[in-house]
Amino acid sequence: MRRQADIVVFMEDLNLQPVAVRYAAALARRMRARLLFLLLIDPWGGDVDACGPAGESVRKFESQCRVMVAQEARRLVDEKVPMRVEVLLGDRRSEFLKYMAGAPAFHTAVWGGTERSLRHRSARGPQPWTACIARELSCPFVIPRQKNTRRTRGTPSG
Amino acid sequence: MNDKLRIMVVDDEAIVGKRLKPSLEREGYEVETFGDGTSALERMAQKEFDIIVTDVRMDDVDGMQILEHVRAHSPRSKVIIITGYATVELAREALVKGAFDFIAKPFKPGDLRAIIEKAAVELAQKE
Repeated sequence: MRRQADIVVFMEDLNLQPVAVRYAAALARRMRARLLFLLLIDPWGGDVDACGPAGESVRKFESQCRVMVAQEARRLVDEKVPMRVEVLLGDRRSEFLKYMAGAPAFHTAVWGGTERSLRHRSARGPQPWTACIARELSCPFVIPRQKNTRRTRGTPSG
Repeated sequence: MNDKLRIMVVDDEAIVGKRLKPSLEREGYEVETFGDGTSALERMAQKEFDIIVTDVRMDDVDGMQILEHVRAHSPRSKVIIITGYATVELAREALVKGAFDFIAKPFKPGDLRAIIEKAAVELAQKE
């Protein structure tokens, strides 16, 4: 049976949200799709004149990020689900647009970061870069939320 | 022999050239800035640039025309597209037409410096 298009999990740092990984993995299993963890990371951070890693150290940084995401994700993703990690370094919005210019086939996109970071507005732009994701994607964009499992007072247990 | 990398910056927003020129010169590049596409093309006829950083939306000659001109007349040179109207379609068009890279405005000088460094490495490898 032919596999479907990828389920992509967008990340903007190494803080991968387990709820997003579990959601994406369950969907990938059900759809017989592959999982793609796409980390867009700006090594120069918010510092206007900062000098980030250069040359060989950029490649090393990229490789370290890839390994860390793969290890973290694999703890939560069944071995039967094929997954891969891609790391894009640089201005996140630009890197995202260039990646999408290659017309990747996505079944569903999942936000792998925190909800707070999704709402965070950059000082340099009128909108967070993540607004670009929702606008440019032609597939559903899901923000998985942790279910509130806290019991209210008086609720019987079990 | 002057082995400094020659960079042309074309943007009708004067502030862009004003900010990028000192930032790139500090890195040891030779930088010339232009506020319109026509004067940039005239200068290209007199001097070869290694890297051209150009805005897309400009009156008279736009960034895509500059890109096409460079690809046709100076294929060795690298073109980096910068734009405040960044979309997937525009990124695709730029890359298909042979842009070395594409960056959405506003960007940090560090982001552009990293791309220029990559272009410099490629240029050095081809020589």
